[in-house]
Amino acid sequence: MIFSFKRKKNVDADFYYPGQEIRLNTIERAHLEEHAKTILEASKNRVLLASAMFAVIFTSIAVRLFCVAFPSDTLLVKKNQGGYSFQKEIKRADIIDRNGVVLATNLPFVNLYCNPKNVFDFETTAKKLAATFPDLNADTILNRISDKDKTFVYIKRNITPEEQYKVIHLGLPGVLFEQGEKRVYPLGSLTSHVVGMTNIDSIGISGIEKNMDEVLLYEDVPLQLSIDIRVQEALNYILKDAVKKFKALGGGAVILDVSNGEVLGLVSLPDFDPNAITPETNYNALFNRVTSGVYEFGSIFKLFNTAMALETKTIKITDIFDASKPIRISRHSIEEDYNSLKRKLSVPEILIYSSNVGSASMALMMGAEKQKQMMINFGFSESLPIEVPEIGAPLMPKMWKDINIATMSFGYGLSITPLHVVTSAAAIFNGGMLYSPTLLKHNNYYEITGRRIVSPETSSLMNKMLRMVVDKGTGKTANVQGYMVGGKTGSAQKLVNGKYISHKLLTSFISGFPMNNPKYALFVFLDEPQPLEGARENTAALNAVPVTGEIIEAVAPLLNVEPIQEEQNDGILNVSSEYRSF
Amino acid sequence: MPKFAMIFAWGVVLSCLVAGVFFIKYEVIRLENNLAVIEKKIDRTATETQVLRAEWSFLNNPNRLRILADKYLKHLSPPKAFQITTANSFFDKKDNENLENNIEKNELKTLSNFKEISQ
Repeated sequence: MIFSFKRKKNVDADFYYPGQEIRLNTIERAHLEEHAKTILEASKNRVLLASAMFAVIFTSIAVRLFCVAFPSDTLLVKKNQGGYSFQKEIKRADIIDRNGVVLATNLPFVNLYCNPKNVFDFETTAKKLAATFPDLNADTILNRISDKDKTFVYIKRNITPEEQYKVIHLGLPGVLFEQGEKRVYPLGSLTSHVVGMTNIDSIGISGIEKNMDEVLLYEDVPLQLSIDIRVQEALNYILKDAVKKFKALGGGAVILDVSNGEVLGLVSLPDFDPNAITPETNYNALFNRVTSGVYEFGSIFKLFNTAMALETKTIKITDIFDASKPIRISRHSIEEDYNSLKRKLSVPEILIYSSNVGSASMALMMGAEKQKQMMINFGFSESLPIEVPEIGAPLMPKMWKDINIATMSFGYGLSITPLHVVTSAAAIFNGGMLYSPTLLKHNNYYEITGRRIVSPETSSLMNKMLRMVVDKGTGKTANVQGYMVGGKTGSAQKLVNGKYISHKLLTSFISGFPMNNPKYALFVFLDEPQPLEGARENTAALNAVPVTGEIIEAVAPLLNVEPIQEEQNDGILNVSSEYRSF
Repeated sequence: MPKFAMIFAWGVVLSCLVAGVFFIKYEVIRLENNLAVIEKKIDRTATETQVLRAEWSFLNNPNRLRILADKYLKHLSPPKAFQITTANSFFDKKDNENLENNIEKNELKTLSNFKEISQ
């Protein structure tokens, strides 16, 4: 064993037998003892001193070793050198479309700032900077930088690499760069009303950017929207062309997946470029007509009115209504808008020819109580929960007198957003389930829950009748071959200073396709379209309907809707010929 | 073991430890530096990727692509519904019946042949 020490006995002694006693005489012993004591005392002290010294030395060595063994910060290369920081900067997550196309992202930009304490010549500095940045005035720069008390003054934020290069070459003392980030929207105005925008400090101020601000700030993964950028573009350019062609004040289009409420495209015109927003940007362009505008939509409501009447069993599909003469309600008279047929009409015909009198008769049969309940069921009494902060609240009538019931049946007296129209129509198309519209792509983590508003039977009847509107009635120009479009037109007169103006119309068309098994609901509206040259009218059939046709022709192949061959059309057309005989 | 040997052994162990500790320390410093450099590179590449992704999105703006397609792909246009069809509709109904009859005949023929051979 290394650690056991054997002491040798009797090293200097004379020879002794084993077990023999070693005797010393007493004097000798006493003397020896005294001597030994002093020696022992001295050596004890020395050993103590030495061990104390060793203890001190070894402790200090141990401490030093301990310090040396663990790398201290001072010895490491400074990680913050060269503007690099270990701590991740606050970054905002990207926003992408349903196929992964970037709609909003953060890009590194450089901010130009000045430390006035280091500036020698303010005037030259200001002049040289003003020459580099034509949008900046030399006097304004001079005002800003000539405050010697400050150490940090922004000259310009988010300058381009080219501008940075120029400023470096100016070699101005006290003029410095700060690394920064800027929110960029690579697709410009295309998704402006959906994505919204942020302010200069990257805080959301409208659209998804505002509503999802926290998610975007604290989650690392990109936020995926339900928008399909190709569909969005189709809506955008077709609607833009239409607004220009019909000299409309604006317009909107929204397309919904009827099976889950996902919004695939949402366009509100006029729109804006979130990359180039200035205080002069027209407020009108920032207004999202689709989610926050509330309008009276006119005849579109006949679709809901008929569905309500069928659902409440107030009418049967085979019922006949007399539309030959106007209905009188106290001082008011309900008349047909255009070309009265002056005869009895079947339920499908009321939709096909858009009869006010027929619709009002249905609503009056239904009564206030049922109509109000159905309006609430359809979701027309409250705002829709969608992921943008710009949400319009519907305007329900305060009183439900006969005249209100009658006018509401053809879309006057109740104002809702375009999103309400498409959401409720989607429920009628899909078999009766109302799904909340959403701008976020559904993931498979949770099941989508809907609310039943009409029975599958009512839905199926409505779909057939809406197909007939496009096949035979006011929606003919939207009849895209192969995609079996169905829908209902609306041409509502706008209320100006308490009076309905006959030539100021809000024309719209709500459609679904393909009507044998509807997959998508599309709503298109134009605000005050003008009649084309040579045309006398500016009703929906002449503008919103053909625009819808164009859109469906463009988006249906993108959405993988299988075209229906002519022969296969028979099924639904036979049904329509049945109704024609009523 | 002699005292000297013990002290010597302890000395060797201690110096080995000290040397080891020094070695480890400088290795740690080196690796930490490497890590810092790599993380810096990752960060830079991530930023570059982000810029490229934004650029890609900008260049793939459907509006721009549509204008380019109109300019350079004049002989191509989006598909119309009538251009899309199912395999079945390649034959009209009469053709289909003929085809079925033929197949049936052929099958019978083969079957009789088979019977003949087997007999």
